[in-house]
Amino acid sequence: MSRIYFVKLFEHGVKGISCLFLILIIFSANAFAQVRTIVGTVRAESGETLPGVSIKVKDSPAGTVTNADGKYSIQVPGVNSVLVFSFIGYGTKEVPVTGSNTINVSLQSATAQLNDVVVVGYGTQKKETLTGSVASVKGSEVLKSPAINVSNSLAGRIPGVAVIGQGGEPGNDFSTILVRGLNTFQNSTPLFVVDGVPQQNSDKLQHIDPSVIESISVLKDASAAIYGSQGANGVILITTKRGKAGAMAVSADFNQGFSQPTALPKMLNSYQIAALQNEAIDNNYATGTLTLHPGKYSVYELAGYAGNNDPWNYPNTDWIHEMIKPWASQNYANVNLSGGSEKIRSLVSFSDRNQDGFFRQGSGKYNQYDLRANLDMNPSKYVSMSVDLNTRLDNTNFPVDDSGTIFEQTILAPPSRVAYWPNGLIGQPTDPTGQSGSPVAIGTPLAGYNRGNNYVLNGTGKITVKIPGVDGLSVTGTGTLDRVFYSGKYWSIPVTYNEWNVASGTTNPTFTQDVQGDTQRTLTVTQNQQSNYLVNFLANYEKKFGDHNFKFLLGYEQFERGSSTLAITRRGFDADNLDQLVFGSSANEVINQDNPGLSRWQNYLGRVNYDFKSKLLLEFLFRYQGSSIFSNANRWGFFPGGSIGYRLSEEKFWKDNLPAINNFKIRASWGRTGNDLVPPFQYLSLYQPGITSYVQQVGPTGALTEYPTLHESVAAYQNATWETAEQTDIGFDADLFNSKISLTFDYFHNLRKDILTPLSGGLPASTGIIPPDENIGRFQNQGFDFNLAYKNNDHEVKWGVSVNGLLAKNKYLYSDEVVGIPTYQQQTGHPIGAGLYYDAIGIFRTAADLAKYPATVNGQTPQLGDLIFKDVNGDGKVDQLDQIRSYKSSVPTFSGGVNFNVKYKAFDMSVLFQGALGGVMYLRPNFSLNTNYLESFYTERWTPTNINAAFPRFSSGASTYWTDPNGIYNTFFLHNTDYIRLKNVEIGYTLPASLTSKLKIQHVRVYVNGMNLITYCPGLKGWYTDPEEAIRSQFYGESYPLQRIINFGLNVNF
Amino acid sequence: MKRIISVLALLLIVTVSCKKDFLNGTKPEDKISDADVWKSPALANQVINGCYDNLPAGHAWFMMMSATDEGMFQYNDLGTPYTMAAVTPQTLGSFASSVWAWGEEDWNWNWVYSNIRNVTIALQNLPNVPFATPDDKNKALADAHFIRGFSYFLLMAQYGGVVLYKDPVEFGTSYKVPRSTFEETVNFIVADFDAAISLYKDADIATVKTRGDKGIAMAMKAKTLLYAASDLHNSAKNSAIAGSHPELIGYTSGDATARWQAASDAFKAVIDLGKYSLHTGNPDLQRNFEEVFLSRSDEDMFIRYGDQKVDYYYALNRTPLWQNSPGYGGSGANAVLGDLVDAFEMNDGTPFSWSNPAEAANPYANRDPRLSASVLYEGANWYPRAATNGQMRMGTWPDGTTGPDAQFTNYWLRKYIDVNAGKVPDYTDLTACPPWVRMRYAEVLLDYAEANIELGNDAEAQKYINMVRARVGMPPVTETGDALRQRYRNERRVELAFEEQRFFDVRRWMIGPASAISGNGVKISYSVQGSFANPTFQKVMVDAGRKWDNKEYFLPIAVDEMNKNTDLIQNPGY
Repeated sequence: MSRIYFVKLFEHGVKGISCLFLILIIFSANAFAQVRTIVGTVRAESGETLPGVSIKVKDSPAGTVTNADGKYSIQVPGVNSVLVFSFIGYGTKEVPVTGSNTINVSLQSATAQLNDVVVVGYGTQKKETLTGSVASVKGSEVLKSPAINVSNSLAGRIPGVAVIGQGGEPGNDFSTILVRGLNTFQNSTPLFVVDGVPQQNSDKLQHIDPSVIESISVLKDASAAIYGSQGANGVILITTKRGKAGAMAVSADFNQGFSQPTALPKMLNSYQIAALQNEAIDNNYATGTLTLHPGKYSVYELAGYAGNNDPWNYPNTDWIHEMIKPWASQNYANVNLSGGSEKIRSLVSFSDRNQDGFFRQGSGKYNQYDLRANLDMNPSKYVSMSVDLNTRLDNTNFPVDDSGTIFEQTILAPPSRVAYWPNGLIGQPTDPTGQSGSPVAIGTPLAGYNRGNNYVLNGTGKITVKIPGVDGLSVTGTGTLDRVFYSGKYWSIPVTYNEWNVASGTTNPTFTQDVQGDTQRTLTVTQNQQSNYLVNFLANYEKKFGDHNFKFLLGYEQFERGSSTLAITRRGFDADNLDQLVFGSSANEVINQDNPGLSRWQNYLGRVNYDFKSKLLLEFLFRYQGSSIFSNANRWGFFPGGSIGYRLSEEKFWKDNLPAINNFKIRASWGRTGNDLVPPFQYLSLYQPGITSYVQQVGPTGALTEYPTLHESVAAYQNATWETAEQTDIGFDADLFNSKISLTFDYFHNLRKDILTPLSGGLPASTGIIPPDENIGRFQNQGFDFNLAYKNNDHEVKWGVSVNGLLAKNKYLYSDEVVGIPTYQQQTGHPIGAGLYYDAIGIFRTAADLAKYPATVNGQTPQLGDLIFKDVNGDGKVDQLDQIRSYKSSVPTFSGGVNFNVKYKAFDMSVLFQGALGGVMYLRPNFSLNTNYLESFYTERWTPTNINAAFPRFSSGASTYWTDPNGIYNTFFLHNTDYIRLKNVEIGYTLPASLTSKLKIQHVRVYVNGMNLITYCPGLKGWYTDPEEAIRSQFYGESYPLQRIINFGLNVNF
Repeated sequence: MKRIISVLALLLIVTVSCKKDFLNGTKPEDKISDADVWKSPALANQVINGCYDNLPAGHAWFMMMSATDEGMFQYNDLGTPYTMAAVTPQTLGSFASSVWAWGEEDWNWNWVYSNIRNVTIALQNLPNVPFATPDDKNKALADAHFIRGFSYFLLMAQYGGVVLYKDPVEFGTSYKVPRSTFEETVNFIVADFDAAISLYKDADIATVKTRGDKGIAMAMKAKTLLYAASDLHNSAKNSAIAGSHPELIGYTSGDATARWQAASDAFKAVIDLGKYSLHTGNPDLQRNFEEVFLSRSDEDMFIRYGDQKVDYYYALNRTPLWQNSPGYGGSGANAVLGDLVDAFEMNDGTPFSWSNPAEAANPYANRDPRLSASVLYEGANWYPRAATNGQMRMGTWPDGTTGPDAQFTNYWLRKYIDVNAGKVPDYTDLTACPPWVRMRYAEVLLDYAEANIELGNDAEAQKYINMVRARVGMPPVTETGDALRQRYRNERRVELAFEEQRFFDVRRWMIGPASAISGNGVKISYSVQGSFANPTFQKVMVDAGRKWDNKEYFLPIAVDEMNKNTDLIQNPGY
């Protein structure tokens, strides 16, 4: 019912929005009689004069701007006029015109202003009376990073938030964002809320236009309890910019950046590989099946490769050079219009960003357009309304194969295979026997494309009514509609490679054509749509009784989320340009549908704040939430949270004795929240279609008919409900020396219970039951986060430095252990993601070593140069029982950042160092003579003449116990990823106002910034890998590298 | 102003009043709740169809032949637990629950029991499904009984007595259930087949070969009785391996002769139906035998087609074509052992021997036509290829280089592959795959013969063995007694090669040690560099180290399962 209402409201909103902008212009066109002339100077709080400040007479179109010296002159109609001063980057200030004809004004910078108010769930709070643990960052900070994807801009900037890079592929280059680390062994994704609207999981933060972010707030503790069963992983609130009263201000940003991989490997050349192969054969080392060149290389062949001047017969292809270009371009532009009157204000922002991939001639590209418009209206003194309309279009353009796979293929391609023949023809598949083709084909449009268009449409209408006669009471109603349409097209074209007929010679060479892999063109068209509907009503009431201040919030909210996907695949297309379904054969059509059904939430929420003289602060908040994910009996839950703060610095004894500490507040909070990021409908016994059909034939010659099949997908677990979290936080805020130094510190302890996990450990397979998840898991995460900042604005050189950090240590308290495994292999007590490894304690360097350690490892006899595994249980042999559970995982335990900011006259600079400690990465080379080999592993390998080598001897393939990729995980390949990196630098120069004001331009700033510029990571020395890169399973090169970016930018305000 | 407030108040009332429906209004849209499934005859049949789809299909990447003396697998060591006596409750090789090369995953305990759960739930619910006619209901019930009987047969063949579930297990109850005895297990399976036999209609026999009917249910019942009567499950014969719980792996009482007689009677009943016959008609006897697997005939009893609209891996795993045909990209994952090749007789019925110089010089001439139809060997006619004149070439020249098809044993699988179909399609282009034949009439004839040999009815046994031999033009067998038993066993070995029979036959017959002594291939030499002419042949050991351990007569129950259900008793020797 209500949903329909808001759909209509929204539809009207779309139609009406153009009218409203018209109204805005008409408002601005009114004229008034002039009576007095007011003059004055506008300065920043630091004292400098501000040129270009917009000055308007309230409720009238009259306006002017300050000149180069910050001086202005304006005519006002009468004594009751109010002047409105506004300037980009500063808070708007209203000054009533009184007797004096001179009005000098000091504007507070917007950043300072923002520090006073913090966005929290369903409202804002003053920072000084905040009792919860809430961190925030301003949009302007985010803009200092040149990353196209906002999720990559946050590392090191928000205390308590861990940002973990994944990969650098345009369109896929998002970072994982975790609030205080991992809080459950299931889904730890925090809740992202943009302007009050919870986002679809897939959307997260990554696609938001950085220019529209006003602020980002992170609810880290029980203050998230107001988000109930969605708050346990922390809540990240993004507030976007809104129009400001004043003359139409135009701000434009243009950026041109260049990116390159942060790390690229050094691989062997074809001579080194040939020599290595001969060595392996001479020493009787396992070589595996040699498909590239069976047997030893002859002296002639070795000489040919060593000569490196016969690309026909002895190729030496530098695949990395063939595939990866030195710099990829990216650019970003934003135009932002803001203005209006007190009664009606609007903001329109448009941006365009383009990002190119690393592959030469590659099809990896991303671009995105954002159009956001919002309108705020105050039709009467009791009513304010707003309409927001946000649209986004993003286009992904990927190669047909996964880019990580292509990168891996590039690295592993044997240098003796040919990328392009000297006459320009495309060369050979990298593997003569396989199906994998060559990266120079698969990474380019030659092999087709994988494109996606994503359309996002988001509309919000909001109305707030101050109830007349009841002072301090207001009611707000909000309706939001959020829709995402995705349309994807995957078009794969068989690639024809060329094998040179050696006998034909090089003057008139002939070639044999070879199609690798799929011999048919394949088209998959995917359509996906997602929708969110949200309606909420909030009542706010504020009341003051003497020194006792009360604030009440009561709300009702309902929310619906749905998604559906349809994908159709056809084959049998006759030409490369027939990439439409109708041209394919319906005979082999495959249709996939994914439609998990709607999820709905119904919430009652509330908050009470009490403060006594702004000294003793109390807060209680709750959410009573119902979720359609769970059964009728288990869907409602109550999530309370409470916090207390005491501002000791307001006490007389403190002021008398500790005047240097001008603010000191201790805080404590406790809350119970939930996590319902679990598959819905677990309370039902469900049947799902089988992936294959039953094929029936009637009679010996009957046609084959396919029949769909069904099977039980999972047994029902009636009592399924959300995970519950108990979050405790104790912290303090301190400001010293007139707030020059500020320190915030929080200790936290998060206990997660009722984690849904299958109890398969005790369920025999003979029951045939596919075990449902049960609320049995327990998990703990504890640690601290802090922020220490110093700023000095007293001198011409204004500077500041801040340090923030997060230590988060998690461990399993209870999970479903495999029955019968020894305690040192169990997960309990270990962090999530901690693997089982053989403890590699060295290399068998001498015969004495061989005698000293157990004679067999999983039945194999080690030889010199092999890795030594520890016999953990001391039974005289090394086997599966000698694997031990590690205490480390790929997620660092400590992460943090150091920020410097300097401003001198027209120059500004900011530097961000960011780092992490305590993480590990499992990474091993691919040992095969049919591929390529890491240079470091080659030059520093054990040989009978180099017994003190850093790396073990050469061994190829799965034949050696420590190279077998199937399960022989050992600590030799487990690398410490502790790192510190120069994450971000920005240097800017603002053109003198004397120059810009002549051009009728308020403000011009040019800047250059960079990301991931220098990295120090001793644990990965010789591995050429970025410590933040997420390796897919274990092999070197399996993921697309992260980006290093250098960017040049220009910002102009009219 | 007042209007705004009244609108707000109205909205509040509206939302609060429809709140109940709001949360109840959703349901899963890509899955169906059990309540809905068992309301609909069509959906109930979909569950039955799913259970049929899950019964084993031998066209896997790793074929069961490579866990026996028929073949060896080239890509990994999934077969070695069985060929090298290394199977343990932790190491189940190709029979493990999750096998990269698919293997015998569909024989695995977990897989089969999962199917048993689905079909047992069906048996519980089918009586209440509103089928249009009683016949429809009976057919669905018969299918369910047939599938459950078939599934427990798969377990019985591997483990002996197993845990029997008459009803589906309730989630959250106690899961500790002991194994039933072997005899109880056999009786349970026979009861299921009997139920299916009584529910299926006579008129439907042999009309649809892709699912159960009265004929195949009778044949499976007979096969169950044949397995049950075998020496492996006879306490008079298996005492050396039985361990402390002989009742779990065999009969501890009763009359073995009566059991053989019951098997014989059951097979005779199938033969007497008159609905099945051996495929004949093509005067080219080799081609006629190839057609048994390539084109459908009255010889089929229970077949299983692969799904045509399948995903990548499924196609990969379900085609013998791509994996096993050399010369056009096939990689010959499952190489055929020379020991099987040597078992094919000369076409005059005498055994082949490497010690006969004439035979050794030209080992593939004048052999049982089934050899050419089942195995690719040096010089065999194959797809037209200019390089080899359309023949298989696997020899070695004086300089050490080899012909294009040389690999491993130098014998390749041919059964199931149609040379006339042209080039083997790439796996991604695969649109058709010959069905896996789960049971064919030739097996029934041989099974019946086996029961009669054990009953001493040699003449009856000869008659039926010779029906199978006559179809391929092989002279009749005339032996009696143990000599007949040995001829029969060889006949079964070559007729049913690669058909997932040998793994169980060597166990039933308790000839494990003899089956595991060898691992031969052939070395072929060309005397003139570059020429395929006049190859010479030499038997060579290619898979050394094959051995047998008596524990292998039964598969071990996986260690996880033993830990979870502590009432289980492990099979002897593990």
